[in-house]
Amino acid sequence: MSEPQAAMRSIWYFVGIILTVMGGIILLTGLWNLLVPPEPAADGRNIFQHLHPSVWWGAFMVVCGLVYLWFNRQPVRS
Amino acid sequence: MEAIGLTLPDWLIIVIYFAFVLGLGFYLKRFTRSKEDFFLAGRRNSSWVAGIAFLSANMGALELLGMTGNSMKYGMYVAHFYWIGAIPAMLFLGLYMMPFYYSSRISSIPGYLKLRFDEKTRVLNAMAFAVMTVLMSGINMYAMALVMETFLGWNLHVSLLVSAVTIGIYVGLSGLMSAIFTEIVQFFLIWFGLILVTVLGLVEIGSLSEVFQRVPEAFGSIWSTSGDPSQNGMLVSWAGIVLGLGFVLSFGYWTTDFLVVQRAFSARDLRSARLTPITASFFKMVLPFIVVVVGLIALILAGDADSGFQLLVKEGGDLNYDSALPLMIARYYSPGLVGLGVTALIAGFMAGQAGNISAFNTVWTYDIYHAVLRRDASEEHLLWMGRAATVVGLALSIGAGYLANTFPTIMDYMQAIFSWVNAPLFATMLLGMFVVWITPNGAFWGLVTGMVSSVTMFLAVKFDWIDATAITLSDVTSDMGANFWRAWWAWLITFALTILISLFTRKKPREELVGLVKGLTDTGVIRGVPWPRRPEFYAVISLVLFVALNLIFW
Repeated sequence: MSEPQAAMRSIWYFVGIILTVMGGIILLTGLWNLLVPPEPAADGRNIFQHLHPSVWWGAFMVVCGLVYLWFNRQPVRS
Repeated sequence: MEAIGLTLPDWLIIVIYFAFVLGLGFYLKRFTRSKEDFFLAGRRNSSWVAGIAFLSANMGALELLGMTGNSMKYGMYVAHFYWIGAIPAMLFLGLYMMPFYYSSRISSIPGYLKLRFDEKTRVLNAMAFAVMTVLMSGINMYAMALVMETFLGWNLHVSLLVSAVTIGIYVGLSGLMSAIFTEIVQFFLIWFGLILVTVLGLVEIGSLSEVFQRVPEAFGSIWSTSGDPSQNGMLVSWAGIVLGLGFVLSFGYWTTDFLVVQRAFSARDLRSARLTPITASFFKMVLPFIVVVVGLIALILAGDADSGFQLLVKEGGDLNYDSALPLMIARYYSPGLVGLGVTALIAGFMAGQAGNISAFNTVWTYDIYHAVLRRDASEEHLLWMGRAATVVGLALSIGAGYLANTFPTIMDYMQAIFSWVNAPLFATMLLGMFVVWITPNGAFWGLVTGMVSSVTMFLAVKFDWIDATAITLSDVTSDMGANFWRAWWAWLITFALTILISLFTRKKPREELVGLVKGLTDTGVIRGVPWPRRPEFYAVISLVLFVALNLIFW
């Protein structure tokens, strides 16, 4: 009798995990820097600090990651 | 130069990425039971998965760093690599060549050459491909080391070791399956990690039209200055672009390079396999908005003394164009985002490297070891050999990485390598697939002569035996222009000689060519289904977009 095949997670599920985790770290870092502004960066570095790209880009990544996770939460057969 | 340096969140993101890909390798090992799982990812991928992996295998950090650097050096002409230098060939592969590849159930491109011609042509191509793959891996290693040096201050030795061990573990565990999984993850990390550089760059400059106003006229268009090579950044004429890049190099790479074509072999059926390069073509078309636009913005900033933007300088005093993208990330990204940008580059490198290694272990195992050294090897033994070849391939790549460290620019050498191997092979494949009477001896000797002539032309120019203008047929030229023209001549020599020798040598019986040559193969054209389900429908949309982009940026 053949061995029953294990259910494998879709690749899109893993994409959801990595986007959510990395986006979450970036978002939290951005929020922390809003509360506790860092030292000014060296000349020619991080010139858009005042636009807080970490906050809105991190939030965008988290939303995208959660969408991928939600739609691929069921394992598929290998 | 002092390293740009990372904060704690940046490091956290990089560490999570490495842990994630290693975890994926261990997770997928449970599902890797046969050699077909290891070498062909079980042939069960959708066209979306295979298509994104197809593009990701090509879209390594090498492409990203090299093409951004080249955009500073050559201007908008670099977009030719993404449009005329990719789209027609990708569509041709999906529409016309994939049925021959997929229907013959081969495991590699040299495997097709064995069936269509004979063993010696297969082994010749397998050896050339193995050498090319190791050289490409070496260049990838160099690209990685550059990122590590710029951001982390790590030296070449540490960078090579960290990346080689990681790739060795996850490719060794589950072969093409984990290579494809990480390529998909890498695809998303690259888009999320790098598109923001373009967005913030446009915020700094003002708009896309402002970018084109501020770059030199020769750098701002793709065709309007191609009538006279001296009037454009790449010093190449439209004929060189169309024949060398658009036809030979592009078709040679996208239709015969096993590194990318292997991803289509992993598709679950012929329709998905045909859709694989067509799906990838849409993503390929928009890549210039990351690399070329960022390169042009870097060019503007480097020319503005008040911007504070300066490229790295090499030991000999030359500007290091390949450092443009890492420096732009440092310019625009805040803590956390820098980690994402660096991870995108590392992920690009790792996926490109994994692609090289998974293609190398397949060609070595099937087309050299199994074909020549051990014909009676069992499936278990071949699976073991695939894993051993992964380790050996990585060791050779490390050696090539030290060699690549001496190269002046990345992309020039990449195209040189392609002109040695892929350009002549494309002539062989084209004739083999579409002309029934091409013979095994015609193919073999045509291919040998084409490869030798291409390398000879390269060496002759490099060591000043002849002037590059003798190859490019114009008064001015660049390294890239010489690559285009050398590829064209190598293709032409292979094409003509293959036909000539075939006229006088023994042909294969027609019954042995069923499924391998046009006229004797099911074309995969699906009849009686709605247009939106046919690959041809998406190919037409892709072609229309390709023409529109060329006209917009004419």
